[in-house]
Amino acid sequence: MPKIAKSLAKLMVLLAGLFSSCWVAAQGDYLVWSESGVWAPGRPDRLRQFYFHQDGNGQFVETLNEKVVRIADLSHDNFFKSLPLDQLFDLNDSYEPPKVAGLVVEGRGNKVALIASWSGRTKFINADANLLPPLMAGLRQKMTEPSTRAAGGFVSVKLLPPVFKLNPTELAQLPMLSDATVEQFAELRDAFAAPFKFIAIADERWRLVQSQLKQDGQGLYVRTTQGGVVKLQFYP
Amino acid sequence: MKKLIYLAMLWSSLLLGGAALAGNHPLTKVVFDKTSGTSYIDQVVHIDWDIDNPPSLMIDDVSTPLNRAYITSIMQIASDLLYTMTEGRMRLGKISVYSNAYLDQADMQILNKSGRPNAHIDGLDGAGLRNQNFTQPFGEPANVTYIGKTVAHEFGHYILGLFDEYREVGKFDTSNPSAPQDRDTPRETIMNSQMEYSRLSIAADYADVTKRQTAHYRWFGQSAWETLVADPATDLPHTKAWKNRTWFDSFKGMTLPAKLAVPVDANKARASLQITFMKNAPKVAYVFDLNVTQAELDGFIKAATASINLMPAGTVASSLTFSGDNFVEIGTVTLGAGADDPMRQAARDSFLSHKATPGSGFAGLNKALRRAAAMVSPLAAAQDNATKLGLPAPLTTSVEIGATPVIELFTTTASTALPETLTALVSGAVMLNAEMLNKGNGGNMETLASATRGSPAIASSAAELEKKVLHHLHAAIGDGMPNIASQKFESFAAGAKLEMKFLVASKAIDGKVVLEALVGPNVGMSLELKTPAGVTVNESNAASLGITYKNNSAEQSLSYYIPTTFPGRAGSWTATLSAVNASVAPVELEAETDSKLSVQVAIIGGTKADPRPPMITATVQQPVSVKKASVTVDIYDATGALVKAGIVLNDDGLGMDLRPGDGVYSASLEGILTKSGDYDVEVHVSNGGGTAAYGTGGALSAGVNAPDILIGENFYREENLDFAFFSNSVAAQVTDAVLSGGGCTLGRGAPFDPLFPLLVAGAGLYLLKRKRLAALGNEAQTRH
Repeated sequence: MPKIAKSLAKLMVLLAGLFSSCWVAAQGDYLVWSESGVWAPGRPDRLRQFYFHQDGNGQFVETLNEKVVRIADLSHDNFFKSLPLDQLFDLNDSYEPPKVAGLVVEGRGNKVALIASWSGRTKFINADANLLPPLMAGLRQKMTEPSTRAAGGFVSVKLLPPVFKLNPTELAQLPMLSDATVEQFAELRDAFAAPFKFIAIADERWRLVQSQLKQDGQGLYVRTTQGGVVKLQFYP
Repeated sequence: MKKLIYLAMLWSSLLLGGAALAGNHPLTKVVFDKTSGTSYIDQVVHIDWDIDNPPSLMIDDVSTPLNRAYITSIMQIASDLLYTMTEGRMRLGKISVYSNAYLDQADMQILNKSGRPNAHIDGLDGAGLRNQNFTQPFGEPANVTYIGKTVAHEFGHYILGLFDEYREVGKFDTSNPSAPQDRDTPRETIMNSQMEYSRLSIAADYADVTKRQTAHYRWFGQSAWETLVADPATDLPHTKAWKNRTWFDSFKGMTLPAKLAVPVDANKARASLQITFMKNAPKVAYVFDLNVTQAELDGFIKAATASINLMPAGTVASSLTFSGDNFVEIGTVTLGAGADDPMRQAARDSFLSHKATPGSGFAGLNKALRRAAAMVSPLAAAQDNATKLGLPAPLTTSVEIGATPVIELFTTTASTALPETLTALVSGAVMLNAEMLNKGNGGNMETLASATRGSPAIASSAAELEKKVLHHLHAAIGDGMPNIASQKFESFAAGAKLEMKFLVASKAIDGKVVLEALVGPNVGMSLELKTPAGVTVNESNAASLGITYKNNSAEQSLSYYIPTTFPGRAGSWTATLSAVNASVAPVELEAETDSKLSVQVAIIGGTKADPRPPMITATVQQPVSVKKASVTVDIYDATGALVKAGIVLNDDGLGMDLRPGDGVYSASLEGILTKSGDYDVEVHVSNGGGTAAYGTGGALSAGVNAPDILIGENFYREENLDFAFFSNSVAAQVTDAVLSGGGCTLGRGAPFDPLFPLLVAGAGLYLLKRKRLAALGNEAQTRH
């Protein structure tokens, strides 16, 4: 292939990638606060998540063993704008005990994950609940949980933190989430437009997604056409 | 009297609690029965409550005492599951349970608090490695079934060296492949959920290539059973970064199971289970080397006498002597309560009757040690009888050991033991503490002490040895009398005035303060104090000022006891030791306080066994953690030359520090220590900046931290640690050559350490010392 043709082909791929990635890129700014309670094998796995978007809308979700037990919309007015985002981005990525060589500690303690997307940057912070820096501890005090009960199924797109890395073999084994599939499911488009937010999806629609990806299970790690990896999580 | 009681606590702590520097416990063993192919696992268990006055917990809505039946049930369930998961090839044997003792030496800790169970991988033969369990795992009291099964799951890590096969939701960190992750595909095994399953994974569990995501498979690239049966030499290279996996005799030559029988048989699983709740009073044999000068022997006797005065009631104390080819068994007494107890007096009198007796060779030493072993350990006695009768060695569970068997040996570094002596001690579960005068490099007592999980001490003079023994005790108790300051003067001229300043805090921090001058054989010494207000305190006016002065000629020390009631006590004091004559030996000034605010120093890494770059940690606690204090360390080499001063230890959770605000201050010594050798670290802790606070941060368990409490005044602590640094390059040159070709599954559990004859045969002190240091895990003795 002539050089010019190669360049054109690359450009086409790039443009196609840019085009197809619109459903990933058009997210806006948001902040996610996720709390995972103490857990061990055989014990209930509980998660509480606050989602705040720059447009003033938000969401609170509580899951138990990966099923939604509470979900409610939040209206937070100027909460997002009042966030000390620049300071949050200056925090460390981890406030957890370092790994101790050769020591296996069972289960999980009280964990907090904070994900902030702001001005094109994304910050992932993982922390033990009792090791939160004061800025995060103060932030949590401003969040209140509604008591609404849940019904129906939900899908959430989870962006993966920088500490998630797969080797090429593992990467190649992941199914590719095509643009066509995303286009086919409005729920997926909405989920990609607001990562981490829980988007309602009917069970049969989720089964269709599974079918197209030739996967089963509630949590699917998939490659995107941009070359990244996300997790599609279904909550019945 | 109080000092006597204090010293009693120290001594009993050394013997009952075990020296912190020792490896794991002599009662830990793996015994392989060739006939049945079964291995019996002997474990030492620490519980942090008094089994005679057990607390109760509401478990399943029933008030349940944590008594002997509670512990017994946990061990039975754990043995049941160990038997099932290993297809009948392992079961628990002798379980020695200590109440509030041997925390660091125990294989298994059961702590009456909330926490996340954890275990070191393949930790059975490692100093300081453990299988840690809680009565309230993950914050809730659990029943014995849960705890027993969890103990068995932890055996999968601690004994078998396997990793988990469960999934941890929400964990996206792939940087630690041996930890469960969100994307994992759990297997139906005990390494997934011990409450649901009781078997280990086999190859068929991982036949589906899309279902191979578990911590265990990521690490080993094969199932649990494939791992157990395989020669560790064939393990993937990265798996050896932690430590070499133990290959148990029970799994050698075994056909890889394609299908598991999963045998459930409580009778067989518990057939060798022998649970012993250990007595607080040990059985101790004092063994004296008479082939020394009378002055040196007097030093031995002084240390032994101090200890016998202070041993807990019920201690069975024996005495033996040896010289040349001969040994003499003096006798055995059971100590009663109080210093005036006639049995204690009899023991003291027997020590005082010893006379230096020249001799050559070490036949007497070997005979004395083997006899002492039989006296303190019924297991050693049974094995001795079997040997004499030409019978096979009896199983460890054939006799019960109810009291910790200890030999306190006073000898020289020249002493040499035979391999069969080591065998007698190790297989008889006897701990040997070797207190030695330095008489050259020819002996192997350090190796012997380390192999038996005891402690060696070496000193250049009888006086120094006595001091070292006492200092060992200080290190062992941890919460006894923390050091405020100390200063050693190697030599001085006639008329010299030796000064040391020390800061005393208010009684909220510092209790009674003891200023002591260890003058040794120097004569014509006098000690004065100057109070913060400038008042001079001497032996004449001390009593009138409310300060107690004591000239203890037996201990060759001068002391002032400053009570908390002394007016204007908080502030800077000066101690002045005046010398009429020039020195004949070094002297040392020490200021200690009866306080809970203490500092524990440890070195991690820097050994052959743990080749990570060395790191120093200083734990400042009261007993809650003390945050934001100023902590620095000065390092000296073996000649006393300063290597580096003012290294700052941080508690910020960054770099080498584990967690911020947990009172554990850390710094890396990588690049600072470049040559193998002995070093002394001197840690200084103060609150000069006024920022130090009591805090509760840093705990792994859940819960809201209490607010910090600002300490609000300056204090000072000083702690020293002797340790031997082992550079990787030297380790590679020396130890690997010796270690290659070993065939012993587990040194401590084997009847005989195959390294021992090699070492005895002339590998020399250097090799001996390296071996000891590797065994000790570099946690050398603390000294003041």
